Amino acid sequence: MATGVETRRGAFSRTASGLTREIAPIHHWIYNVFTLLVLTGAAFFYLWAPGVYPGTSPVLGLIVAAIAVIPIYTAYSMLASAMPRSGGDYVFQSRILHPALAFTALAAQVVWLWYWLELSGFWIAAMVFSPLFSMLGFYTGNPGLLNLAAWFSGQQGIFWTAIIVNLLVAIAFIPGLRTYLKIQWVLFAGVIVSLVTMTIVLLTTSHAAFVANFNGLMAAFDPQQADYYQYIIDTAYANGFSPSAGGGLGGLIAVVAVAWFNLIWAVWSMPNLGEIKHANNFGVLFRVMQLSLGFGLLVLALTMGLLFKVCGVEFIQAAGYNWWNGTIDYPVLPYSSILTSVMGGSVLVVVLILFGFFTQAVQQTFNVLVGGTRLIVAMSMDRVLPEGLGKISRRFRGSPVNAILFLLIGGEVLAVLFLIAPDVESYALSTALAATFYQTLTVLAAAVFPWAAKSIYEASPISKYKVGNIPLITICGAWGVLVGVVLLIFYLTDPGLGLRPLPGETLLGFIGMLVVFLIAFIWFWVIRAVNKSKGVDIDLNFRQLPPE
Amino acid sequence: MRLFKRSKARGSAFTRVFFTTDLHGSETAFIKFVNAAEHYQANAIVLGGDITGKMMISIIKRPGRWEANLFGQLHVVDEAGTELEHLERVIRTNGFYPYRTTPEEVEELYADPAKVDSLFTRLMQESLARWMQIAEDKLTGRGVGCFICLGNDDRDEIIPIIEQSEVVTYADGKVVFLDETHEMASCGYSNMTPWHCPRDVTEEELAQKIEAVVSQVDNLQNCVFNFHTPPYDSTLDLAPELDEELKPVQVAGQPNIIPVGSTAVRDAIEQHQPMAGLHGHIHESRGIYQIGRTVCINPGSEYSEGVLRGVLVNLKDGKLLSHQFVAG
Repeated sequence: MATGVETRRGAFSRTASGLTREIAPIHHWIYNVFTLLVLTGAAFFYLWAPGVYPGTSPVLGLIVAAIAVIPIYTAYSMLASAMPRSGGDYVFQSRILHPALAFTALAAQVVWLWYWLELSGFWIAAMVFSPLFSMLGFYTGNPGLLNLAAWFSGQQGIFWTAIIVNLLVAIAFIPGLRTYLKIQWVLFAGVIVSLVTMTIVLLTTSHAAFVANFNGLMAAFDPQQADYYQYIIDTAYANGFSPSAGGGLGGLIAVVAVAWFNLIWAVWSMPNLGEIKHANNFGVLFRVMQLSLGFGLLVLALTMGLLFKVCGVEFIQAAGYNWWNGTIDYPVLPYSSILTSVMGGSVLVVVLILFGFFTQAVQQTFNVLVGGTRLIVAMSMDRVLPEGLGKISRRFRGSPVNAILFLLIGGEVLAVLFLIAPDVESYALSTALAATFYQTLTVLAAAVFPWAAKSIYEASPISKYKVGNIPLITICGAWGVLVGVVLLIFYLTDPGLGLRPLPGETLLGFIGMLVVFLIAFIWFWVIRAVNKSKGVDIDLNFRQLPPE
Repeated sequence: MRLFKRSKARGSAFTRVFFTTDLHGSETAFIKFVNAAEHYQANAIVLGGDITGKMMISIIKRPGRWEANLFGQLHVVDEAGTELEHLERVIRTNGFYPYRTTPEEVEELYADPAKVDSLFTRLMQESLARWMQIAEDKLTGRGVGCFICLGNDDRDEIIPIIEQSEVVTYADGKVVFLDETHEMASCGYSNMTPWHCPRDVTEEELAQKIEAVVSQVDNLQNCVFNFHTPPYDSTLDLAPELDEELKPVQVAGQPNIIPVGSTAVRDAIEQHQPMAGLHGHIHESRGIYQIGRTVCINPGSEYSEGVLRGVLVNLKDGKLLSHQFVAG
């Protein structure tokens, strides 16, 4: 007999069972900070934004992007607290908008996760191993190490790194989250140590010292270029670089689109809502999301500013221009990992900086598997993917082993494709567009939530947040749709964002993206018909029951 | 007893059963449950236990207004108008019992836990009586079987309320027919939980209760087990391990997830091999798990969001044709 009674300001609870899964706010915040890619993805930003849009301040672009993201995170937090279910965006869209739309957008995202797995391998090869062996070769004068560094920057090095890292992380993840959780603090500590070391190095290195160290390192690779620093600048100008290009409102929006690659990604915790303790508490969720954003903005803006100060604005812009246009065949790619390592002047500093890049890339692989498997399980529960794909393993205590293998095999096949047909890499640039597409659909779902899923909205605590008579979630969602549509237009039309081909390039990325969406869309209707022939009407999964 | 027949009007060549569980007092979820019969074209609907709420929210009378503490925030509504009814509806949707009271009575309740306990029973009974009326309004004459069991969180005092209903069959501890062929054996008790709930029993006692009901089954080949607790170590029973203070045991900074289902339930399924096992109890462990011939299903629960999670199972001639998770 239950006689235990708890009271709290007029609320009385009786003794009853209440089993819940819990991911604490601090772990949620760490997860978000990782997905904001404050080291690895940021290294792209430091070259991409100033190199392609030198007429726009990248720091201003970051600030504008962060301001634009705030209402979107608010909409996500509200939606999540009202529907805190595993599957996140897929669940929101399929229940509020339409299941075919949700499946098309999120199944395509699952396919793009294969690319994200490749990206982890790329980051480790090009941003960790290549700089590491460059610096070791430079310090020791060992040409073998320099050759190894160049190998890791090339197709073979990236391929083998991706294959091995993905395999090892998947093996570690199959027994469940435990292995990851055991090392999560180490991975996070690695990122923090790297950020702190980079900041100290950037604050204590003079421009002249950087130029001298950089030229010394590059001369080890290319003895004919005694002043590689100037060579980068001259080559950029010789190939059409203009410091005033990419300015104005169009340039600012484009830089925001580049910053989006980092700052939007706290939303990747949404597929894990079923395991987050505070997922139905809008206040806590809101704070965790916004604090993640604040941390990401601080790191990126500070690092960008310091790189400009130490390396020189013109150099960073020119290095980015050559990187984007392929006008220099860099022996070691000029990411922030190598630029800051070369400033340190010691092997210890190099190791401290690169270890963080390594741990973030490893964690990124875990993130892909964690979020991706939750999406797959949610879809298979709805029967829009084969049920076996989302099967939970008894042996591994609830781990979705088949979904992990699906992601792993897809990632490994893509790695092979990248190796034998390097042009396929242009497909990768459509990831930003594809992600923006599904995120825009989610904020659209947020905007119409109070009417499209009225009973769930009214039952949720967020229904009290209004501006006048308009639900706050509608205002934030509408803002998100506006931003999303503008970004989608830019991704499609601005050659600096990857999908519109430069002269001499192909439309492969764009075509690849369309094919994935088309296949997903057709798949939904075919699987719907197949299920119906077996007496399973999957439309029922998405239809709201009358609440009156 | 053969109360219900396969409905030819529904046009199916099989019997469709809608199963849901763990509504924990959510009135919106219950209304959705009775509406599920028509919505999903089900021949029978089954509510698998844990139907009563866990919390009572005092709505305190103040001069010219009412005040309630909900989700840690103070809600104030005018004495006049419909805001009070809306607040009560929100409270019920979330599975709580709204209780209009005075500041003086609240103080009395703080001082006397036994009084709170007895008030809980009264509110549960009143709520169940209202639910039974809703069921009768919506299901009378529809030819749909409606079966309700208790779970480990429920109190026996509410059983007479369900038994008085004209359209709802109290199924706990009984064998009922879902159509002219398929039987359902139900047991709403649970193995011991850390909370020592009203209907927690030892594994030995649970095994005896299960055998008592299974022994009434005519044909186990055509039978569905409706046991509130999922079988042990089935992936339908994963939950955080708790310490003596009911706090999650942390491993590497995270809750240690362990199986908490019943060995007695697992033994019964392994031994008798029914067509299907319908379970609940662990809200977050939605899924399916096969034990020999038996497909065990836990549809999970999201009652506090006003969402009714459930599963549609299609039965024909002693076979489980298909199953489908739904949430509406």
